[in-house]
Amino acid sequence: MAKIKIDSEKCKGCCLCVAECPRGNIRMSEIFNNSGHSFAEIIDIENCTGCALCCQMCPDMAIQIEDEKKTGKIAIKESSQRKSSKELMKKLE
Amino acid sequence: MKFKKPESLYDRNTHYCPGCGHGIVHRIIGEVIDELGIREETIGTAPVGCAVLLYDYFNFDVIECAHGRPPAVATAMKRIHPDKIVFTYQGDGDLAAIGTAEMIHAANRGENFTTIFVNNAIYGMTGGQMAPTTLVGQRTTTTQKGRDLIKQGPPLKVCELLSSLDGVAYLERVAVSTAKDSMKAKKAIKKAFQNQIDGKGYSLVEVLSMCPTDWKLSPAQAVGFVNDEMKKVFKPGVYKDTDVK
Repeated sequence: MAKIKIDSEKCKGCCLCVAECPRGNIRMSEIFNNSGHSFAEIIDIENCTGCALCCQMCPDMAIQIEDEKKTGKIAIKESSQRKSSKELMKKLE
Repeated sequence: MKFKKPESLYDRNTHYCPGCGHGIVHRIIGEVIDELGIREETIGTAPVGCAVLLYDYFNFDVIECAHGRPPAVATAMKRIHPDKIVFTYQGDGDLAAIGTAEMIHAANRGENFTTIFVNNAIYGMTGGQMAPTTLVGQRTTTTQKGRDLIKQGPPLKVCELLSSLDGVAYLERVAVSTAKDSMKAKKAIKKAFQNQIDGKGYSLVEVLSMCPTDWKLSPAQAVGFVNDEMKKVFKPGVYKDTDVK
């Protein structure tokens, strides 16, 4: 499962992502956003592989994908590095 | 984050119509500039056309030029600041109609900057008049029975035209009508910027783009028009590359 987010206020309802999704996992909403456009929404988030083909075609950059596994590991590494560097700085002082 | 908005673009809504290809080209340029790490050194030029408000979207310096004159302005900027990365962003009305002279002479001199040429086969901003790149038989507001081969002539093919000039380092025609094509477009635009960094000379990437509003088609039909009609006349591919001998 990929963490996909579609910004409904940025979407202009062009449907290019709907045609591009290889799993047919995107549909247009029945309600409208503040600009008066029907916006794209994910049908089943569990079914999304995070291939980012929809992002490649979105002219309004309304779709973002977070990679769970990688961000988790990197976040831990970075925080530990930051701590150690802070400790070093304290020691130096 | 696997896919997010590049740092070179501001986080704001664009004024483009739904399904317009300009947004995709903007994202690709932003990603390429981020990946090459040249955001602080880049100066862009905005054309007259739909992309006239380019400076509102890019998070680096952009200068607005008179209609068709970005190659002349870019020549001056690159000569005064040879260490900066200069690119021109032009549509088909800007580059292939009023600015043909500037573009051809800048290319012939081998000026070391990059041109991104967005070809949507119509004048978008002014309401859908015939452009030099309009296909034969395509209906526009000024060719209501379709472009006539005898009266208006065949479409102008910029990549083929420039491929005979010695100063040109790199010419490629790509599209942004499918995800695969837009990935190819990114590769081509990255190479065009890399050529400038390496000082190889003039690089131009022609991008076939959608204009659903003025073609009077839905965004999905506009994608079909690029894939089925435009690619037949404007064949994608590398037209000149001085690296390949």
